[in-house]
Amino acid sequence: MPRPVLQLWRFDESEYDRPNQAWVCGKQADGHACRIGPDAGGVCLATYECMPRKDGAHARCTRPESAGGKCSEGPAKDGTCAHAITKCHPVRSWKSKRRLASIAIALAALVATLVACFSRGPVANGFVSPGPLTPAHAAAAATCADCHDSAVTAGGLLAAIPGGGATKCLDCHRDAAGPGANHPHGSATSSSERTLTCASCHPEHRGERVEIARGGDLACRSCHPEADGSLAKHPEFTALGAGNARIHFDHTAKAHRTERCESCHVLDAEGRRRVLPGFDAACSRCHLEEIAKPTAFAWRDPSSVRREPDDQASRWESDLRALACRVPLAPGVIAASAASDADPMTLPPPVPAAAVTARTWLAGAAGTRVMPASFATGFPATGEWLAEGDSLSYRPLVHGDPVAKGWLDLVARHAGRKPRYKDDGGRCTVCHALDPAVAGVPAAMAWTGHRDESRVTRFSHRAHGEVACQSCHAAQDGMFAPVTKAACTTCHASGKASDGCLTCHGYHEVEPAVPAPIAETLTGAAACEGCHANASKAWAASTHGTARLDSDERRAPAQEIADKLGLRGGALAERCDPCHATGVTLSAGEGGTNGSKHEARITCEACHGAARAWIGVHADLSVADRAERSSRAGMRRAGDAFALADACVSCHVVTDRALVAAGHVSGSPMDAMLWSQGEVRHGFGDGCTGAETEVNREMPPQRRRALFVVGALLDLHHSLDADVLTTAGDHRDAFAARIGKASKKLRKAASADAALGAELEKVLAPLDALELDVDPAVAPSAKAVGRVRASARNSARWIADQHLADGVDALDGVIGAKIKGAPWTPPDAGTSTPP
Amino acid sequence: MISAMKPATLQRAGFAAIALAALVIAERAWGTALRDPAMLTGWTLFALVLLLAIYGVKKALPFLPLGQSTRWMHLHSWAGFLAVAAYVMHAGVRLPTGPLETLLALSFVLVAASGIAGLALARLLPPMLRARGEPILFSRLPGLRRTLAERAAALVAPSRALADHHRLHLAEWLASPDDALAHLRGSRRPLQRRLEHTEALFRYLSPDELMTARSLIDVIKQKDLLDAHHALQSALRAWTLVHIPVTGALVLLAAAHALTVIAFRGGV
Repeated sequence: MPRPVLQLWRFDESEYDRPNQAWVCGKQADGHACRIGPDAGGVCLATYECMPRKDGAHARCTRPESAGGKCSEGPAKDGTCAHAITKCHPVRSWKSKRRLASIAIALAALVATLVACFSRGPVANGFVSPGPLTPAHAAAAATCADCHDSAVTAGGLLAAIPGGGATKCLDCHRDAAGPGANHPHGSATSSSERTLTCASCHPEHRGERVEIARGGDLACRSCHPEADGSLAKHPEFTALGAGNARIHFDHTAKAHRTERCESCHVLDAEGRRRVLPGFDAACSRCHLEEIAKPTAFAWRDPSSVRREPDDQASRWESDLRALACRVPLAPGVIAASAASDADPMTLPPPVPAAAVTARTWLAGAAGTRVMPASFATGFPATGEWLAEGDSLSYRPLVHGDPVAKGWLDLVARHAGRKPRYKDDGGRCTVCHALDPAVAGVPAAMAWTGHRDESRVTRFSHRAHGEVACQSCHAAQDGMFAPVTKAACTTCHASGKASDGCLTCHGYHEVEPAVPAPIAETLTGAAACEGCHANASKAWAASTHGTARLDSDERRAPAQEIADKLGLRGGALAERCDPCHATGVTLSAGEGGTNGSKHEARITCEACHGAARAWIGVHADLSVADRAERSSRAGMRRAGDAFALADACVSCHVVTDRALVAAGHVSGSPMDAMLWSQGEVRHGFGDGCTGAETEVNREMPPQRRRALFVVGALLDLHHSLDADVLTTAGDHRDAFAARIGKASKKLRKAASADAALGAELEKVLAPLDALELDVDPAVAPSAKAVGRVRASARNSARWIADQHLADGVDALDGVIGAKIKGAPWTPPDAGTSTPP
Repeated sequence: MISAMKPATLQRAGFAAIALAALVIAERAWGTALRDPAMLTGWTLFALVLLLAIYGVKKALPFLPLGQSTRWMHLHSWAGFLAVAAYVMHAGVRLPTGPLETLLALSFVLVAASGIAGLALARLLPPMLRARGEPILFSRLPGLRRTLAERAAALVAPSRALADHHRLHLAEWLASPDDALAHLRGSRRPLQRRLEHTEALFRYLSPDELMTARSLIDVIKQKDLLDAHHALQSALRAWTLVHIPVTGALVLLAAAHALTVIAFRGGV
């Protein structure tokens, strides 16, 4: 029997289905759907099964065949159908349900979008946050605005478009990243035209465990396409480790042999390099006598000095000036020397003349040139001057004699090679090689075993302590061959030790921090007096030059404080010397300008930085970028408002609670700018030539403004000590008052200029939030204090670097006029204000 | 498998592969240039999502001359695969963090997964429906089911044995759809089981009852056909209940995400 067909398709056998309708009969699920169906609004239209038709006096059933055909009962007498249909509750069709779901979900998404776009509170910020922060940032940042441009959250999402390209990372990380953080390797002169954003290599919001401090190796390839992140394909090293050749040392000589390399090559403080301990520690036992052998550097009659081509005559003169900073020479000699023609490269043999000193020479002996009496002051006693006829020779007696060094540097720069010495070959150049001229940097004598290394490449000898020295440093002719790449790839290869770019190379080339003025890095105030005589006199007459802890006035109070704290000897020096002396440790047996200097006063180096590293370049007037190179070597220049103000404020604000509790003052009411123009002012330099004048000039207006603002910010920074501010007491009150004063100054400064005000507002707004002056009993949170403290310091650096305050004339009306003490003036001279 | 594909399909697959290769190369180039590749892949993904969403608009406006629906369908399918690849390049294979991004990722995953499921179902299920024989309108299934139930009840009424069997084993099954998973797998085991169960009665029936029982067998087969249609056609509809509604949310959330990225891009 054939299976009956389920569906009927004829128009008269089946109903017409309308799947596009939104509502269907509620009885359809049971299979009893009526053929009438609901309307578009979902209202059931069912009444009767048919609408009877009048046929004369009778009514006839009109029910279609598909619904069962005419009924047997027929219409009622009143003409209505006899079969009523029970009304249903219509339901939505599949399509309608799907459409409703689409609308509902889209509305929910729209609400979410509106919340994201128009809300401004923490709920909205939390909604759009793409993920958790790393723990350090999560602890430091309370709101999105702490890192993102504040306009984003203040005005809502839409107000931030086009995007906020804020660089708030540098508000906290400027020290670590360096001033040129947005440029490749910190160089604003790099070939890249595009500044990079921090997020290019350090993405955040990737979760708590992501290490964002290191960018990936792939980023290096954007500028170094040859780098593929493996050491194997790195170009061969050039002259790596060959810096040892800067000081000749025959390791194969019998007297030089040691059991261990570490006997001479000791790790430096950072553990990066193995440095030589110095002539005194390593070589003097055998070679000290050779230093004193009669090898004279002949300083001929000026007419015998070779004259450079015309356009280089001034170079000779400036070089001689540089040498004169080490050994004061009369201006007359300098000027005359520049005009001579003789060859300085060939020096005479030792002069067996009677040894004379410069003073003898000054006495006007026959055949000698007379020099002014001022020449004799500060003359180093490390060597002997010998006079013969019209030639003046010099014989060094100690290692590292500055005159000898200066003369050799002078000659090396002009000749591009080491000076030649007759007969005994010269003592200095036996060991000290020449650094050849490289990329515009003139040749110079190699006085140390290592060059200043770029911070971009780093190698730690400490980390490689288990590797034998000979593994990398192959012996060659008594010295060592340059380190080859093969020495490194033995271990640093795929599957072994890391061999990515970032293993050895950094990106942010950050200059070493300015070293603390420990004794070994000082040269002593006498080194400055030669060129800065008037400045030295001004200093000597100021509080810095006269106040000593062992003076009659200060001894008793200082001792009382020391007794209360139980400080003696080295502990006492360690606690007090950072502010009351120059240099922390006492020198041990060294003397003269070549040795370390600890002085019980605030000398030049206390403010301008330990000079051992920068005195050479500072004194060399021929160097084009002398000022910048001096700064990089650690000098705090007068034009560097940040460095100078920091040096001042760091001592004039005392955060040591124990010290203050023992009776020390909590600080002095110092204004960095005003106080610098009083008794400590020593503006004798000629801004154009650098030579010293007789006029103690005021600071130029631009520097005054910068120092005023930066000084106030740094005063704020040093005063925002969480330990002090969270401990109730007089110390806290004093600091709160100090902070209030600094804040007042900064508000006045902020009102003077819009750009400056915008930068200062970044500090003042969170400072106000601390509410230090509201209720002294309520301590602010240490975290909040720390944030404002860091912000103040970074703003100070930013304002100084960008010179935001320099051109703001309105600041002149804000800066006070009450300087501390009167500026020192030389006799028969006066002060003046620069035009 | 490639040799079994139609030339037109191969051609479309080739275009998609070329587009994907271009995107991969561009993404690597951007990353090497220290530009954020997520910006490139993100905007590409957003454009693809809009292109995919336009298909729904096109279907709602059939009177507009926008080309053949078949071509749109192919474009929609291959653009969808490309969008999945772009998403993986953009967000990686990781759980999202943050409320907005979590919602966005969830919506994309739902749309993509339902789309892929729908594509597979649209390839697999229609042949299964055709194999079952008579085509049946989905909206008529309840009425046809009721008709069969009434017919079965009428058939078994004279026979006590059959009536008992109907009451115990068939009445509830005839009243509602059943065995959906089995029909989706294309399995006939439920039908076979019921037929065997009913045919087991034959030895106990009289000749008249036997005739009735054979008619009952036909009813069982027809009910099984209705169940198969119900299962397969429901599946063909169900994935659209996820795919289409969530698409609107996906577009809106993607726009919110784009605004957020623009607002917060930069140094930090």
